[in-house]
Amino acid sequence: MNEIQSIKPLLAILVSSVACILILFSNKSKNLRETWTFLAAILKFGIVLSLYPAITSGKIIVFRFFDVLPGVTTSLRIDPLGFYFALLSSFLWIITSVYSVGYMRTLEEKHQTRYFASFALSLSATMGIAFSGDLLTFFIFYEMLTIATYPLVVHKETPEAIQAGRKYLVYSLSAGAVLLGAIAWSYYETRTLTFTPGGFLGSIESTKTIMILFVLFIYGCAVKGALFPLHAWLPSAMVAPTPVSALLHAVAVVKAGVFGVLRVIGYVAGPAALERAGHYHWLTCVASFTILGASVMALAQDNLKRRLAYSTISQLAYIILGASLLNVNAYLGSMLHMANHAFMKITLFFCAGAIYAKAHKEKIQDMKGLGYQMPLTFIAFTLATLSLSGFPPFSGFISKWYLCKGALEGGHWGVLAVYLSSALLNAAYLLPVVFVAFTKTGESSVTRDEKPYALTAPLYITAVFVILMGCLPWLISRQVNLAGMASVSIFGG
Amino acid sequence: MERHLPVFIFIAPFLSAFIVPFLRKSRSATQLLTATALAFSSFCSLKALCVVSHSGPIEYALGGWAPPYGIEWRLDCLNALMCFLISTIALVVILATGPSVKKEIPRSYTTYYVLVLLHLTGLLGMALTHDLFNLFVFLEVASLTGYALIASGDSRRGNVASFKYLLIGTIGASFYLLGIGYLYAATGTLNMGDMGIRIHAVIQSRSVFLGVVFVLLGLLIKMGLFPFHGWLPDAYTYASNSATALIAPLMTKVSIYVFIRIFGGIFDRTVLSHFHILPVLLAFSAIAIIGGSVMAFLQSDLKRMLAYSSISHIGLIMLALSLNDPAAWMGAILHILNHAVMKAVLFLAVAGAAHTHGVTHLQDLRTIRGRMPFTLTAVCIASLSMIGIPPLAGFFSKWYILTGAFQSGKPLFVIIVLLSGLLTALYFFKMLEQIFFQKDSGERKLAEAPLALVAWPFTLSIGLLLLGFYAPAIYAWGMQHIVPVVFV
Amino acid sequence: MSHNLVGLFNYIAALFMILFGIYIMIARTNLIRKIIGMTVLQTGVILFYISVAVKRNAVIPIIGSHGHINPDLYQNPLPQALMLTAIVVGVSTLGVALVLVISIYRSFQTIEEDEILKAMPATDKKTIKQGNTP
Repeated sequence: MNEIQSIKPLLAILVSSVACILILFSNKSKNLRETWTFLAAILKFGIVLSLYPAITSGKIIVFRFFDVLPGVTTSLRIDPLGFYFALLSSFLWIITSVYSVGYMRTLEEKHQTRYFASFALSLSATMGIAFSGDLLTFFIFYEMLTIATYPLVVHKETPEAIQAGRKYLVYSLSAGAVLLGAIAWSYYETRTLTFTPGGFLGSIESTKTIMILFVLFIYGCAVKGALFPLHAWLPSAMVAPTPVSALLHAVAVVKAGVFGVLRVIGYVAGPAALERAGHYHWLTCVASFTILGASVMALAQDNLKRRLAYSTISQLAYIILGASLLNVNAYLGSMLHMANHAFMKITLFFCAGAIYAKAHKEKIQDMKGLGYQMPLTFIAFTLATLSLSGFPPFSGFISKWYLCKGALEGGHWGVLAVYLSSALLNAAYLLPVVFVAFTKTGESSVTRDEKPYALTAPLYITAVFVILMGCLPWLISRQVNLAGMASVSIFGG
Repeated sequence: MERHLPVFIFIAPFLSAFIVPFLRKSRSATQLLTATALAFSSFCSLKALCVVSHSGPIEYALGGWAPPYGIEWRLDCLNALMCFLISTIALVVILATGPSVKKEIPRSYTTYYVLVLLHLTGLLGMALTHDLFNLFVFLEVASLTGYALIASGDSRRGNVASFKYLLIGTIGASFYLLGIGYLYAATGTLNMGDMGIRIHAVIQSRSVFLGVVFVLLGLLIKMGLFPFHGWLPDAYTYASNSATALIAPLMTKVSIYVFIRIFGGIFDRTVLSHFHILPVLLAFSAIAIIGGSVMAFLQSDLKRMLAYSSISHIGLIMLALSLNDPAAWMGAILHILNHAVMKAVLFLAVAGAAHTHGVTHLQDLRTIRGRMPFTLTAVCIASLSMIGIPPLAGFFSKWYILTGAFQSGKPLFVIIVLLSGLLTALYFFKMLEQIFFQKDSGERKLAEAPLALVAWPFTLSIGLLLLGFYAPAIYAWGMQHIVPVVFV
Repeated sequence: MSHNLVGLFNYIAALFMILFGIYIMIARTNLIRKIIGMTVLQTGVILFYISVAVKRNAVIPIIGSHGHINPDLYQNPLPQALMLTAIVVGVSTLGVALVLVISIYRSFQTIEEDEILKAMPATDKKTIKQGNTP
């Protein structure tokens, strides 16, 4: 195991914290403020990208802080899983920042300084989560993420927004408390908190303790990961502005939650300990129920963003389900889906936001004929939909392929059935949007209006990525390679 | 020179209290003298901290009479830390509340500053002494001046609150005195070190039991643990803002320090478990945590909310101390440190807001939205730290208390510690919501508090970030130097 | 038997005073009465200490007044010295308490606890002349 000491992880995290402070001071000048965001985003992505060669050659990049307790050195540790998540988030931040500017300025939203500052801080926290080398560091950034994203949820300051914010806090902070308790307990049992491929809970004798700890850890992470029944905050949080929903609730916050689940299964508990403890199939069942249940709920939603929220809940459960199957391919599929779903969902949310910003429509039934006003937007929507349903040659197909492969390997026919039926449901709740948009309304001539480009260009870019990640071998192979490194390190060959 | 550090720490505020009346013509001279005296104390405490970490405790026999017959003052790492805490927080508060004292106590500021200096003398004396009766004397000095400070200001309810505090506090001090009486009767000595040696021979005796119980009761009343907290909410609410900012962070913490010193240093902890006192303390602390937080949530007056919050966190510290585990004790000591700083920030910020905009209730907070950015940032940081959000200071003390709870084998209290964080979040987020996210008057003109009332809380809150960053180092230092002494 | 009772008389008296003092502080609504109760409580504690110091057939603890004497024959001077301090503390507390009562009387025109508590939520200013809002 090669370890490189480097300050780059810390720099990547701090870049946006510094930006946050600078943004707060640049209240007066809008363009200066936006510059800080872009500078930080590009710099952050650059730093993360520069680590790619080292990671792919099998090295781990480490930055140690200090000993908190005997045996617990808080540290930043970049391994393939963490790098994967960091790369994803930092890249999408750049795109979301462009979109944010377009959205906010089109709608002339208030409190933009607070918005951009909180955004920058949340990305710091997300990087921290990605780069954590041990549970304590993870927890620190996890809570920071909750606090940093709260102002974004409550942004509009309407009574619904404040209620949604309270709900978010209640769910997240109680999950944080449970997580802290679990961390303290596992320290007490194992005297270590460092993420180890293959897990470290295996050193505990009592399988009952392992299982209880596992449940507590999953509870702590699953609130952010929106697993049933801890998902209720997510649809309410859709009251936030769309760029917030797009990045944070389709990419950063919820992905941090499933990232946590992946960490818990792979690097804290570990497949060996879980199999020794037995009874871990409850997670598979809960995740399957979430997939199907959320898809059904999505069918019933008329508000587009809420429909997308339930879709997110469903897709996140895919990731958790894959990880719970405890084999290489399923885990790999989960990781692939983390990234692929991010691009797909962000495209869908960007479309929803563009629709709201230009045409001020939130409900699907109001969107008749909108496709002719914003054709490219809805084409991107269609592409993302098809990908989400798992059609080749889109990226969704690739991740679903590996997930199904993992299910087959373990002989989990039920899971396979869940995947296939859910794919149908995905199509069922998303394609109607497209149909409604392209129904002829009978109006004679409709003006195409998809400016400003800051608003619509990002979703074109992500849609293109959705295609590329599905059919460009160069990209696919690198993605699979990276995910494979992580999976193999956990499960062995 | 270093031998005399205990006296140096004490003498500066003590002498200044007598010099201040001569400066009664000039407010600024009075403030300058007070600040200088506290700065001197603070510097000496810091020096003492360094000396004691390296070379061991400094023992000082007053008047040359050797212990155990003479009164002994002793500086070890715990003491020195407490002295440093007291003098530094007091210094910051005095510097910060200059403008608010001017407003709230327009004419009798001489009396006010004399009382402040004597109060701090009392607190420092409590921290420095190694003699039980000497501690009683300083306890009463601090308490009496505390009563007077609470009655300062323009509030007539402050007088009633002060009277109530006086009655309850005197019962507490009398109990403490009675307890020492029993202990003296049993062991024949008042010196803490000497008693620590002699107590083992007589531990079975009933008078020792009574002594322990009465001393404990006295201390619990002084520190405001449930169910002896009745004086606290009114005292903190109705005192003048400047006085509350001084008393709230310090008085109760020093009483907790005395608890640690007596029940950790003199009696090793087996005394507490021998007399089956720990379960009672655990129960009281748990109720204090939960009850205090619930009451805080129900308040609309800001200072009252912070007072109940203090009750809740004192419960948390006592819970940690009742857990009988070194990590928990160090976590408690860390939390004493952190909580003093956090409450100082919060009360100073409230003083600033009240001074400039007349903010007393939660609803009034909407009017200052966007107009006091630095004060509100300080409030934000302090609130998040009280809730226990990492990487701020409050998280680390909670983490160590949690570790201790697991190690002591009492998982129920793990849940209560975690619950305390969540309940704290309830009322602080209620406050933060009012500040940042509720509909306001729309006025955006910047109107910050006077410089002192802004700069110091803000600096202290940055200090919270630093405290958080250095918390593991402080923990390690404490485990090495403090815990072996008090957690025998 | 009577020897023991007589010997314990001081302690019983001290106990009685302590309990009675606390009772007065709780049960009486007049503030002055409460202060009296406080004084009784403190006196009880002082009595306790003095009783601890008593020795039968001992002499006054002043060096040199009786020549060279076995120190065991002196009365124990320490509690007496301590109690001098405690009395002083008690007197100071009494002083502060009485000043507070005067001030409360000026503000509320009553020194009955129940009436004061009823008047508490009302306007807050101590002196009517100073009308400045904070």
